Amino acid sequence: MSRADEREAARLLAAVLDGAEPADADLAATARVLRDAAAVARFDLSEADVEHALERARPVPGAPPSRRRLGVAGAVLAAAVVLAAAILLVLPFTSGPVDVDVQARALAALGGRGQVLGVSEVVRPGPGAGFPVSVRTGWVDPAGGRQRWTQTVGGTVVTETLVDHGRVTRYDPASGTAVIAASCAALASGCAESVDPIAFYRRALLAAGPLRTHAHTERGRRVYRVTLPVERLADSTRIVQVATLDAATFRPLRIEWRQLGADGRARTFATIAVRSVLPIDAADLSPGTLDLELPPGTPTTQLAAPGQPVHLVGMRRVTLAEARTLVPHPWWLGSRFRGSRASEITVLRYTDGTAVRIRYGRITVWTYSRVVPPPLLGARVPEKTIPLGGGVARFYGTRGGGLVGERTIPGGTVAVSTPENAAAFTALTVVRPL
Amino acid sequence: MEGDNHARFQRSQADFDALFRAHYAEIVRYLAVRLGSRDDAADVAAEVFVAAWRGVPRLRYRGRPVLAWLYRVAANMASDRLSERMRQPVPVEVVSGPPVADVADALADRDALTRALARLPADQQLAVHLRLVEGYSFAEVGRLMGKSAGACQMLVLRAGRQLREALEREGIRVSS
Repeated sequence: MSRADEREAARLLAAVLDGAEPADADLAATARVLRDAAAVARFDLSEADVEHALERARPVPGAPPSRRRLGVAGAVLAAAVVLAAAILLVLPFTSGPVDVDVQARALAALGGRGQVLGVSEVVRPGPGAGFPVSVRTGWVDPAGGRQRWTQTVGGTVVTETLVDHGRVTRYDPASGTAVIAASCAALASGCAESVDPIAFYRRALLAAGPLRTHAHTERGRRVYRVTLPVERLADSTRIVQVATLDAATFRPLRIEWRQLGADGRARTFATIAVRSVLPIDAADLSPGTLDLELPPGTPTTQLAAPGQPVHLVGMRRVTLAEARTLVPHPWWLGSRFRGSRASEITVLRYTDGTAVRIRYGRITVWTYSRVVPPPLLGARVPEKTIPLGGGVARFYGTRGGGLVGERTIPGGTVAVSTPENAAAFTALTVVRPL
Repeated sequence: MEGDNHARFQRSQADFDALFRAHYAEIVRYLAVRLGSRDDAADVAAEVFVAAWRGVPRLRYRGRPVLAWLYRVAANMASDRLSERMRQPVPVEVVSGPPVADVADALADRDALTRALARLPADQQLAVHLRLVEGYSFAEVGRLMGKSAGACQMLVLRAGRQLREALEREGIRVSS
């Protein structure tokens, strides 16, 4: 086709897209595929979504636009520096009961360039959350984008976690299995348990505009209380942090995580008692401190990379005999559970992975490896994490209002979704390979 | 006249809230196709507006509206984000198991179309987005992209052909 013919074809297609009748079937098909593609790409944002995004993105008032090209990290850092300078220079001349350089001092207390933070913290559940108290100890390297910590419950190590530029490796020493996800958003239990509270607190301090600070005395100790603006985790969970700082060191003593629900109401999810935050020079850190070396042969499940929407692309009912041949091998609750027979064994194929679903009345057992089936995507904050059967069981609410309990198994994850809490716990204790 | 336009341009950029409310949604839609994720698109779109606001002093009015510059910043940031992803190791896993019949053809087609759209060259993606998703006329698309309307029509024609070829490679027949 000559260039002139191409131009003419392009003009005719443009006319068809503007509403003219197509001259031939080929042109009509091209117009059709373009319209279909546009329909796939078209979606609306609510006014509330836009206002929420605006609230988060709005530049610091009074900060002059820069003449230099700034990277995103540089822009955030520059905003923090401008903000800190504004606080230090302007606010001392205003009257008020509270010292106003708290934010800048709090950031400074978390170390400077080239430093990593050694942290130790106790994570306590909020009212009604119900998960046990756990202790996290580890390291945060803000410049290197790495976090590495060990989590214990009742003196037993339940999880070893490495976060490397958002990529999460979670090792469960009890079961000897590991999960690797390119983002915490790919984990069924979401990001809340894969983000170190100190790293999260530091990020919020850096990004925040001027903060309201209140001075208090707690048990004879002078403290400041700071409410940080809403921060979104990678899985979109919205968290407000209320930090209590030591007035002498400006280091955090306690951080309360409040999760914002869809209705805008906040509920306390966890309170993190910070036992120590120790900034040290990265050069002084022993090699390997910020690494997680899995034991040779550790069964490892890799979850789909983020940014790749998971869709159902196919499904097939299979017989019990066929189900026994599947890989990964499905788990089940036996032929009967709580009076309901196993029924509807279905293989669901999603983009990037498969899952097997077995129904027992209102209870459903899922076995999956790489992709978290969309119906299991939780409210993204686990409500309960407990040691179970040599491993760890996690419970979380689904977007549809149900409850899901999950545990890591060799080669994947088994999850039970149910409308009742008790059934989920019982099911996870008896679930076994088909 | 040129001076007035430049001043108006600067005022428009500086009015961050108005700019954000007017164009945030369409920048998110554009980035969602490029990045394959609405969440990533929302994050990057916010950065686009912050960069726009910060970049006011070094801008020179060239006869194109503010929106053109926003799209250019968005395209650059999307490229940066995609390059970043390419540098990260991609988890690879062989998902084995018996073949499963596709009973959800519509879903599969939609998924294939999404993938094909994401693989289009950046200029074709932008032309399709502006003309078909946002509904600008080809004359407006030309102004926003800094090209002639005819050149934009050509981009859309090539995009349409590439989309059809991509779908046909996946065994999806496209009819009128």
